[in-house]
Amino acid sequence: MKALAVMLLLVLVLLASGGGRALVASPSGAMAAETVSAAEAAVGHPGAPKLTPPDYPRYGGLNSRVVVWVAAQLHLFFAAFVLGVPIFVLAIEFIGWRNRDPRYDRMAHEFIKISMGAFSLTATSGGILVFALVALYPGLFAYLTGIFGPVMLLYALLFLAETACLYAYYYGWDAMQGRRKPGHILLGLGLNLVGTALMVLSNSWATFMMAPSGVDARGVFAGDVWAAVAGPLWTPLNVHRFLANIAYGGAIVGAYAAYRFIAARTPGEKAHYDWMGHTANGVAIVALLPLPFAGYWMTKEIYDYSQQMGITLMGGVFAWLFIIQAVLIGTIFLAANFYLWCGMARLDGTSRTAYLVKYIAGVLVICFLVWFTPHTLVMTARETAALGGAYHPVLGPLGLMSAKNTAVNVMILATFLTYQLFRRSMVRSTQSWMARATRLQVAFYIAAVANIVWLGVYGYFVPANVRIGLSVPQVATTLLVIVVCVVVDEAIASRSERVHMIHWGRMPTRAQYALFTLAVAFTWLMGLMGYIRSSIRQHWHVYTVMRDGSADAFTPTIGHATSIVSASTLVFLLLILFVFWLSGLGRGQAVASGPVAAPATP
Amino acid sequence: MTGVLRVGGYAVGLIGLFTAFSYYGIPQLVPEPPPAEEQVSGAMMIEEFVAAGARIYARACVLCHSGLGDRAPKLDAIATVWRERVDDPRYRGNAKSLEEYLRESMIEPSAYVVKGFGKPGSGDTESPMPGANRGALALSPGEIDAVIAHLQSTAGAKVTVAPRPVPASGVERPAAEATVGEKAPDAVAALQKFQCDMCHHLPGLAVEEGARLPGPDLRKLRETAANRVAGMGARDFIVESILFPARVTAEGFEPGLMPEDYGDRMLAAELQMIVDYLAEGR
Ligand code: HEC
Ligand code: HEC
Repeated sequence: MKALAVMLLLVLVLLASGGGRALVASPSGAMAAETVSAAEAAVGHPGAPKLTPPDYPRYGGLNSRVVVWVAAQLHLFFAAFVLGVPIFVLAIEFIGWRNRDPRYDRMAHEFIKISMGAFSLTATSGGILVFALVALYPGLFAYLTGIFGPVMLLYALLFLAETACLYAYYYGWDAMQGRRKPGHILLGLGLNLVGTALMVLSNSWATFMMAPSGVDARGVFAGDVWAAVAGPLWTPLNVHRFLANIAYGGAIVGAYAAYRFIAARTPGEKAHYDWMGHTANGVAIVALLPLPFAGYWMTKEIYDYSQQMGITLMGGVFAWLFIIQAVLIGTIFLAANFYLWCGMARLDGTSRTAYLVKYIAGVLVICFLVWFTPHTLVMTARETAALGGAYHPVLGPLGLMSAKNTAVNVMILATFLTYQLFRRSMVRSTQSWMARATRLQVAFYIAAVANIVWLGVYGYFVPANVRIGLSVPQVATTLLVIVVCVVVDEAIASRSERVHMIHWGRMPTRAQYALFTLAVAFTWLMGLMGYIRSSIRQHWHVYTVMRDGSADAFTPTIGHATSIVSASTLVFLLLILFVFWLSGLGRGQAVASGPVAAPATP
Repeated sequence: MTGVLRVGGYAVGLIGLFTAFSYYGIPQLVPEPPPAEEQVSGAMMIEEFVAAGARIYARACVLCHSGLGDRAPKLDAIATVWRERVDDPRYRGNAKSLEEYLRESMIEPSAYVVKGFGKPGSGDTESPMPGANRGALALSPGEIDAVIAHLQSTAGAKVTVAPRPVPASGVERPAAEATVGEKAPDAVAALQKFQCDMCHHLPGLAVEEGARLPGPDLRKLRETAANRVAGMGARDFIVESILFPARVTAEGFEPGLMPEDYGDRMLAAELQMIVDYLAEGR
């Protein structure tokens, strides 16, 4: 109910500011009706205002940029989580329904419960963000509302629909079992459709600010809202955020499962939360695998839109942030793999392929180092001075990309291999063709890695615009291996006998810390990349169209930026820990007291 | 409870590690402040002028033109290279000197696209370089002159541009930040207020006959305006020419010279008066 109240407030604020721009236009002086500028009169829409520091209200010693930054970041964390979870909850519910296995249903229910707890915080943080924007950046807010007014209204309506769907989906869970299940699943589908529509709409504001469309060079809006929404970066950002939200949702509920696992008292509880953690980790990893490719696509679109913005992103000051990104992604991959390796302990006896783990670990570490290397190789003091200190000489726009691409593809393959080994250790091949198929898989892996590495090396010998295209065959190779292996594995698994039972719950505590690592690293990484995405606009509110005239228009140092990211992450984790704690209250009856709280297959 | 504390402590530690790495693992560069318009005035000595050009170049162009990472061609040999460029069959501009080539490259980058540097997929017909007088770079004409002087000087060519003496030639673009100001009482006053007469011969405004002004003669506009752009009436054409000079360029005149910010500085009533006056002689 609190969410509803906040939402209503939001609608009111939007209406007030969209309808009467007078509310916010006051600082730039007495713009009486008669003095409408000529361009405005000609097209019916004002261009982007030219703002100066007095146009930005200040409140005491408050740093406006930091306030809006943290508010937006918190809202995005919650929103990503709340939008990501229902996607895989629906999938899990569906699996449980098709297989008539109530344990899946229970797990899905428990996942959505956490997301319910976070929902009102999403609305609250969104309200705070809008309020902060109106109060601290009225000029920008008025300009954006002038263009996106109708979209914002639709957004507010959809938010109400989202609230209704989520409440009905959650509270109707127990009532809509059995014959009513298909109805419930449809409801979940509706929830996800509305949620995705919400995300896509709000993305358009962000991409408009990066790559404005539907306005002319002076920011005069031609009146076509759709043109403003469907800018050049809109679709790539939609895809990227859609995937990232799923991965993020998985990582956070994984932390929840780990938290409950550690607190669990009975073997039944332990088994349940172990299985939950395993599933969440799987969701996070599966959604993570295509994410780098979505990222490359977005980068390519940024280059196509503006080479200058692309170079600022990959070759200017911001290039250093990608070194931090490499550390974060390396952490995520290592933690996820570590968790999978620990998972081998759930099987009886030792797996025949356990010895491979140390080699996989080695490959991961090498890839990680490759990714990470350029910064230790380059940048002597003289080079720094020669370039005025701001630009990175060797991290050319894509010079590093060849190596990075290669490393990330191999890392993804190694992670997939770990997962595959875990699944394969549960079955014993009984027919001779299975051994041949396995050898074929091995050959496939080798050929794929050779191809990826070769393409990576080749990338150093061709011009940049050819090089950027090389990531496509690399990605295609990786995806092909994954698809082929999944198909072959399924064929083998369905025709062979099961030799190992999975003992859910037989998992060391340190594996749970791997899940926490995943959640923390994901959150921090999201904060970092969000900062990069929005700060490559540099001193523009709306790139090339509306300058940031405030005192804060400069790019902060990396240290300063990351401390804000850290602060936002901390606040978010505190709040989400509170949500975990809340959703832990008054339950306990949900976990079956029987010995088997989780199914035998992952 | 200890569970919560331990988990919280672990999270804080991990965040601390990430933060520490960002502080100590990579250099703490101080990014450049947002660009402020360089003051290029007619009173400058030529050395100062070239130095101002170097500063503008460092902030606006080096990002791409440093010769690193295949971003953009280096410009140090441009003094000789430009001839090959304009002789190339792919050349679509009309520069006849180094100065003109540089100006054209900055304002119409796609007039010639250096091989291998075009936008991906455009087959080197479209330049990825942003126009220097607009968008993210948005240099003023004076700044563009200064950059040309700097490039000529570093390439070892003769510097052929000089700071524009503001009032004398009148080509200097009126300050972009000028405010809307008092409403002009009539059309002629409005034309004077916006200094149209610095660049145009205008009806009813005596200018020394035969003086060469940088903009087209507008005294016959009443007869010609309706036929300048197919499908556009006289009044629309004049409105368009004033508000968006870049959209319609008169043949034989330099594009980008006429100020593009009249839309922001002119009152709707003033625009109305000017259009009435130029189109109908009222
Ligand atoms: C976003 C990157 C970028 C920025 C910023 C940029 N340029 Fe360019 N520039 C290019 C590219 C790419 C080319 C080659 C394609 C072409 O010929 O248009 C080029 C070509 C040129 C050329 C023609 C070179 C030749 O060999 O014929 C000149 C002159 C030039 N730029 C000057 C400038 C100046 C002066 C600035 C700063 C005001 C600037 N550029 C800013 C990317 C950029
Ligand atoms: C700094 C010099 C300059 C100033 C000041 C200037 N103009 Fe222009 N104007 C030009 C140039 C150069 C052209 C031709 C190139 C073009 O069309 O952009 C032009 C073109 C025009 C045209 C189109 C003529 C045609 O036949 O295509 C009109 C109309 C015009 N100007 C009106 C005005 C008015 C009205 C003002 C004052 C409010 C004004 N100009 C101020 C330089 C100037």
